[in-house]
Amino acid sequence: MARTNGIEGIYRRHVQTVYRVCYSYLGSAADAEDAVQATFMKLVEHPRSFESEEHEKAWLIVAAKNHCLDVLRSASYSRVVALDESVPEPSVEDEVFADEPGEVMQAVLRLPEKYKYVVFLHYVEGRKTDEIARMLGSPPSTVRNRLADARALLRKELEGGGGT
Amino acid sequence: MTDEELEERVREAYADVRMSPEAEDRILANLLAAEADSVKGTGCLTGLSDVDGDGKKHAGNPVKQPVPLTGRRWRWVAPASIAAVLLVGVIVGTQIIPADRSPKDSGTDGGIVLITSGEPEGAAEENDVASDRLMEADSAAPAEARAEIVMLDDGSRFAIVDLYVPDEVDPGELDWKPAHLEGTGDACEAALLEDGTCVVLFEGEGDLFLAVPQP
Repeated sequence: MARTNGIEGIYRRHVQTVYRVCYSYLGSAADAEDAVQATFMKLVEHPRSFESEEHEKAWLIVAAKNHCLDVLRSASYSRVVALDESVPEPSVEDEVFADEPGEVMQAVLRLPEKYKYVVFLHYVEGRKTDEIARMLGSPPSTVRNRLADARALLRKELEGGGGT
Repeated sequence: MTDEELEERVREAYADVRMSPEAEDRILANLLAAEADSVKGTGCLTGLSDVDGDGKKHAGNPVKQPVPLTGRRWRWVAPASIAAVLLVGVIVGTQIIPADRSPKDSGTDGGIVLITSGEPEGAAEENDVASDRLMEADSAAPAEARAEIVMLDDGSRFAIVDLYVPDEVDPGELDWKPAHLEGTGDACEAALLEDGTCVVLFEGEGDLFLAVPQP
């Protein structure tokens, strides 16, 4: 299949990857969809060329992560979450396509933010620790420590019933 | 649960997370509409049009409309702007004197290196502005500035210098010894090679690293 470089081609290639990153940070289908749109919007606003699809994907993953962190830290998001928690009202889409996350996904969602990124890149994207370190701008030992901590937390949640 | 089982379960959990086709199409329509607007030159994109008209919140940013400066307002805004620019210039000037660079400055440079080596522009801007916020405490140390030291049980120390790609050596035939990372205490295994260097393997990882002797 021919590779297309327009926004549609890039979007079709990576939308699900970007969505997974956003979902793992925000934990809600609606918020993740907004974050996906905002991430790709950056490309529309500031078009750029990529060396490869891998470069394209890496750019989008980092941009999505940064956007989600901004969202999580915004005061308005905190207020919205606080209200939503008292009156849960899932949309039709949520009910049909994003069922209650399974046990493992819930454990992932409960991980501290700093672990989610390395878990996603290592387990889902299959990236090596030195690659992740380069993407994060962190020493490889930090990535290894975070992976080890995340593993321990996930194992504790899944084996020990550590859920809340 | 083994590492492999955990990895498999996490991968499966993520595989179930998929955006609905409707949402996928709706966002694409919004992006294409925004792209068309930008191509037509109807102004910079400051938000997303809601092409569905469904009233659903989309990730648009509010835009500040320029307010024309007229009459009395202009008379005080202009001197104030000049003073502000001068003040910023003085502050920036004091910040870029090379002799005063501190380790913290190096951390910021690390962020910039990340950006210039092909990381996202959008993210790069954010990293520039708040690298310490996004990268937490470890942002103060660029990756290449730290050599990881592996210490064997006999006290010998080796600095990790590169990934090790075995060509003639079969890792399975090496004599692996327990070791740990100095500083973090991370457990690992090390195998000495004939040339005095050693190969390091971290628990739960498939990558091998080459390390050279340290005094």
